Amino acid sequence: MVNRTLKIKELTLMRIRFLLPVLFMIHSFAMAQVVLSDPAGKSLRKQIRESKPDSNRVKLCLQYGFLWENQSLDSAGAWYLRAGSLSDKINYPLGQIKFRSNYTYILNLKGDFAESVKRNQECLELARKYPQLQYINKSLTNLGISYIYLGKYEESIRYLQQAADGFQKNGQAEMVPGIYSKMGKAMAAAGLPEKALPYNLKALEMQRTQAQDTIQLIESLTGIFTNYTALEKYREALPYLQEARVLAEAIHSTMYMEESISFLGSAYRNLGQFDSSMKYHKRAYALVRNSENVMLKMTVLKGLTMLYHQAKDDKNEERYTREAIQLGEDENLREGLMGCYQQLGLLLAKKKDYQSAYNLMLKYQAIYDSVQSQSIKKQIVALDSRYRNAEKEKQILSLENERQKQKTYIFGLGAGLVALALIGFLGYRNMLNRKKIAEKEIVQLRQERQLIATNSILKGQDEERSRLARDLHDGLGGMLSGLKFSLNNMKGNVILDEENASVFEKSIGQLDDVIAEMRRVAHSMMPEALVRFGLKEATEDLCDQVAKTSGMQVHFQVIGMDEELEKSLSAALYRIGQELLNNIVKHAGATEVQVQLVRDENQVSLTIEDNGKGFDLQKLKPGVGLTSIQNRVEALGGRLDIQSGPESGTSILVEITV
Amino acid sequence: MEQTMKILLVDDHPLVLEGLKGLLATIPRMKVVAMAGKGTDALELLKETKVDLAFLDINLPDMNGMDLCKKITSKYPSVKCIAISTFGERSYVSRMIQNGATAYLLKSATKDEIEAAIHKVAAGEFYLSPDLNHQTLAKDNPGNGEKLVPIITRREKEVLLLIANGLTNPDIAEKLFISVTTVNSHRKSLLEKFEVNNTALLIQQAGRMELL
Repeated sequence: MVNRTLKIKELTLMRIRFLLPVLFMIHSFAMAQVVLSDPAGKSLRKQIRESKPDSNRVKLCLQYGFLWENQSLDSAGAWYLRAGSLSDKINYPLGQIKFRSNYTYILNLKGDFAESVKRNQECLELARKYPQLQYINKSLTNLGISYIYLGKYEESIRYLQQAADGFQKNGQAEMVPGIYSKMGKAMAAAGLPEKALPYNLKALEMQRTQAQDTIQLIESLTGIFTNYTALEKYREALPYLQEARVLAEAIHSTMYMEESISFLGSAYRNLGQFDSSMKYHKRAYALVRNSENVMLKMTVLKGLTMLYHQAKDDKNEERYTREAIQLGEDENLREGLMGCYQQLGLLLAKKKDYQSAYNLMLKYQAIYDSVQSQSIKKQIVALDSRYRNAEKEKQILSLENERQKQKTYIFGLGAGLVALALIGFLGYRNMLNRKKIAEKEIVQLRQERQLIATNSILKGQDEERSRLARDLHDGLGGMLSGLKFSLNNMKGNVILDEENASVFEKSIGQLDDVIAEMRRVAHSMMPEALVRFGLKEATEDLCDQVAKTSGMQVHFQVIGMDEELEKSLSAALYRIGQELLNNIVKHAGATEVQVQLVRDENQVSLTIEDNGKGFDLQKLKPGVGLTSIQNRVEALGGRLDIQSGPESGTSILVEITV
Repeated sequence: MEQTMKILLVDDHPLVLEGLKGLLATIPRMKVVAMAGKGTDALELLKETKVDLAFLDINLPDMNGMDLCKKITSKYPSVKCIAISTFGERSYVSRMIQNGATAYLLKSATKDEIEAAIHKVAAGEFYLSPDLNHQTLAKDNPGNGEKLVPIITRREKEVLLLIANGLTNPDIAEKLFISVTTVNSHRKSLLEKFEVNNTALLIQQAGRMELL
């Protein structure tokens, strides 16, 4: 009982390994039995030779390689590679895609699954750039198939599902059943026959309603049979296989005929119908004898040995077992060999050939150990890789986390830096601004202080002058006047000789001069009128005086000066007028002067114009007179407007805000 | 003139008082009856003493001669005031005369001049020292009839022309490189000088006077 289950398991395993190379890639749905001598092949070779290195040659190479597929995988592969490199050279994307989809089929059959996956991924990338969607779907399909071979069924099913959806969307529903059937194979290969079955059944159902593609139909039927067998539902399995066999015969496909007949043998044996089983096994043996499909051959041989074992036909059993061992050793089919060694060993032991039996048992043991250890190793590797995967995922996750953290950190740092820079910049600017403002304030304060100083000096000067003038006038002037009156009195009362009388007269005259000079000095120091009556009167007096002394015509006009000004302002304006008139008298050589005082709300302006020589404003050297005027105007916070030109007189306007 | 003139002298300098008193004593029928160094003293004296003539200095310690003159002439209209000062400025002279003085003498006056002044005043006439410039007192007084062309400054003329050209105050300010307030002030002066109330009339008047 135990033995039997083991054998069934073995068969299932064999079935899977045997099935794999038979998985068809999308491109090769048509079965072609072509030989080199075939006229089609000959003509293709000729066409290739005569073609230019362009896209057409690529197509021809692909076609020719396809012809080779059933003959020699290496030759087919070589032609595909040629098409691929030419496509790369002439930058022919469709060629690049087709080359890969064909070449990966060869790679799969040769067992180079890793390379196949790589090429298929390249193909998918290329297809994504290519405008026609169907190539994407084909690439997805091929990638899915490659993953089945690699044993990565989850990925496989994922890609195949994408492909199926893609084809459906793209209006290529006819492609869908083939993909379902491949998904079924992936499930079966993953050891999940119960899940594989619905896919295969669905695929079959779709295929029956669609245009018939016999090979696909056979594939699906065989798939369903395999699933049922794996589920030990032999009776349900059989009809599908029988149909497959009929179809395979109808299209004369050696490969599928070999397969279906071999499987029929197994199926009947499973059902306990050993005669039928033997019949199919013998037919199968005849078919696979010269086949390249060693796996299938092995299966058939083993089936035969089991049947003969069942029939207790030791001779035949031994014969086929030896053949199987021969095949196994030639082709290095170790898992098949193991059972054969055991079986032969048991047979020889029965014949009392213990020596040989023992040797066989040793061989069996060796392979068993190696297979066992290999499977353990595989398990360990699988476990390890699973563990590593988990680890890696963890690592990736933690790396991702780390990266995220780092990103956040870097971003935070960057933002911080920017903020810092901004703050720094603002601070710097603020500081600069403040410094500027402070400097401005300092300058302003300095100016103000200077103005105040000038003002107070001028004020002090005026006060001092005022006091001095008063002293001169009242003190000295009074005394001199009194002296003069006394002397005048004396004149009449005292008798002097003529000489003395004239001296006396002269002295009195000199005294007059002294009084006049004193008055002049006092007046120029501070006119009493300014203190007493204000600017208007004082300026008028000034004009009179200037007119009298210089002989110029002086026009004096006053507008709106009813309100008295502040004393220091009056004094300052008076001094300015005095200075300007002095300048005119001294330098201008004018005949007419206009003096005008205007008060308009809080503005006081003094205009003094002459019709004299004038001067060039550009060449004007600030003389003492004009400088002191400027100082005074500045001290009062006023404006000075000088208008002049050579030979066109001068007009000076002083404007002060009260 | 038969009567002796009673004279009051007001001056803060005793020397001047004495000198003047001595000088007046040499003139017949003149008698200095009182002398004061301050304005208040003078007013006190006037309450008791009858005088015909008062010589007033302008600089007094408590009040000025002009105020004193006003007070005397208003209280004692019979008293004639003669200002005698070292100041010859028009402002003083005109104020003194406004306040009721009938003569204005400078302290540099000779005895003859003083005598002449007293006689004129006694005769009810007006006397001004010949040293004072009479010309300057003559104001630029326009007669009744036609308005005289006002004297305007150069800036005012510029502003006037620009106003006539229709420029606004800010335009003018920009053109002449002066502030708007200055332009406004010039404009007001012009209105004042041409004795008009608005710019339109100003232009009209200036045009009539052929200033534009």
